[in-house]
Amino acid sequence: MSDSEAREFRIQAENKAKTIKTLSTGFVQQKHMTFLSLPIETSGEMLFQAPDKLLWKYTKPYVYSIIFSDSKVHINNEGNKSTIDVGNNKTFEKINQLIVGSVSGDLFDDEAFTITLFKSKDFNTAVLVPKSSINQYISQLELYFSKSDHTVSEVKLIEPSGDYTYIRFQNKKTNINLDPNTFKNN
Amino acid sequence: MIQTRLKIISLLLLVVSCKSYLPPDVVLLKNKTTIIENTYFSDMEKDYIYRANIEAYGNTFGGLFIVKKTNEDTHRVVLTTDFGFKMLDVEVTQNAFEVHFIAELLDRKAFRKTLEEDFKILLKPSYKVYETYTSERLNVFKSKFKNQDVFIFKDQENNSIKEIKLISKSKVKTSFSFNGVNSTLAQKITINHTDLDLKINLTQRQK
Repeated sequence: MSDSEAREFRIQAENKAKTIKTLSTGFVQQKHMTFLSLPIETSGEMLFQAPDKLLWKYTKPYVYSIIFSDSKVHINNEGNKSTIDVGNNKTFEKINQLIVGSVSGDLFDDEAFTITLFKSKDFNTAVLVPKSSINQYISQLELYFSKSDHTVSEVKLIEPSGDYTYIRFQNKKTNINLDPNTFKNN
Repeated sequence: MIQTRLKIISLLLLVVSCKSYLPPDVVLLKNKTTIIENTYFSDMEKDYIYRANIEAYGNTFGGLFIVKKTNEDTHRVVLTTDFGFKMLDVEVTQNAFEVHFIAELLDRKAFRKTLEEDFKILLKPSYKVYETYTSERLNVFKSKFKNQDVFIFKDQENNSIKEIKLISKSKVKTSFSFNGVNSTLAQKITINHTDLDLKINLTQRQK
């Protein structure tokens, strides 16, 4: 990607991220580990509300939801609810910001990442290498932006070992009305 | 004279305090079985994936517990969060416990030691039998893990391992329960520590 293409891609993605107030999408998540015969697949739906509320709801093969909201992670494990305050753990707070940013596309922070941009037939891709302590969990993050609507379509989180998590978003809808209770661990 | 009496009393006390653990309501049999095979986690073709729920000191941690037998005496064990972040990645043999990765949150010496013992017992391919007992529905085999006694409880009906108990100081230190056993696979496994506030619940992940 040339310098001018990179500038244009970044401006488009950043401007698009600013317009997203709410977002809903289905997702398929695959965990790839070199020693496994098959990736571990889960799927569900995800709801986002700017700037930092996120509901990650697994529906297959089990029902489980994670809400990221106000430096807290609320978990509902088939009715068993718990809350983790990550505000006092900088690493996990950064991981939360990374997950939320992966969905919204608002992750172009040169202080936190070394960023390289690429283009392919279907996607503009941002490869982010974390500079902070989260690099013990994630050595590289790849965000695949759709060329048609400039939002994130696929995410690849690569661990230092080379194992990775690959998330594909489907049926994405932006700026829809969300139930005010969506991000409460009811 | 008094010294001799004291010695005898001390010796008697020692004998009483060293009384070894025996499960309730069992009868000793003539030992015919020499080896118990642990067939859980024994298939090298299979990815063993469990939902993990770990209760420790008032906290609950949920995630995935993944086991793969990588060769005759080695298992790879990985614990991830539900979101997929790896928290622990170890290679377990009966003589080694190689940590490929451990999240700093879990990286406590005592916790590592506990997991090492738990995983080695859970994944031990076979147990040498020293004594055999029977009860109403179970056959019970006494074996050893390092220098500690281990009791293995097998269902008389389907011959599956129902429970493994690790004994320390004449008490059950850790119990491993296997439920919903289908052939060589346990749908539910519970690892319960009596000396620590730690319980690991594993439920086989449905596809």
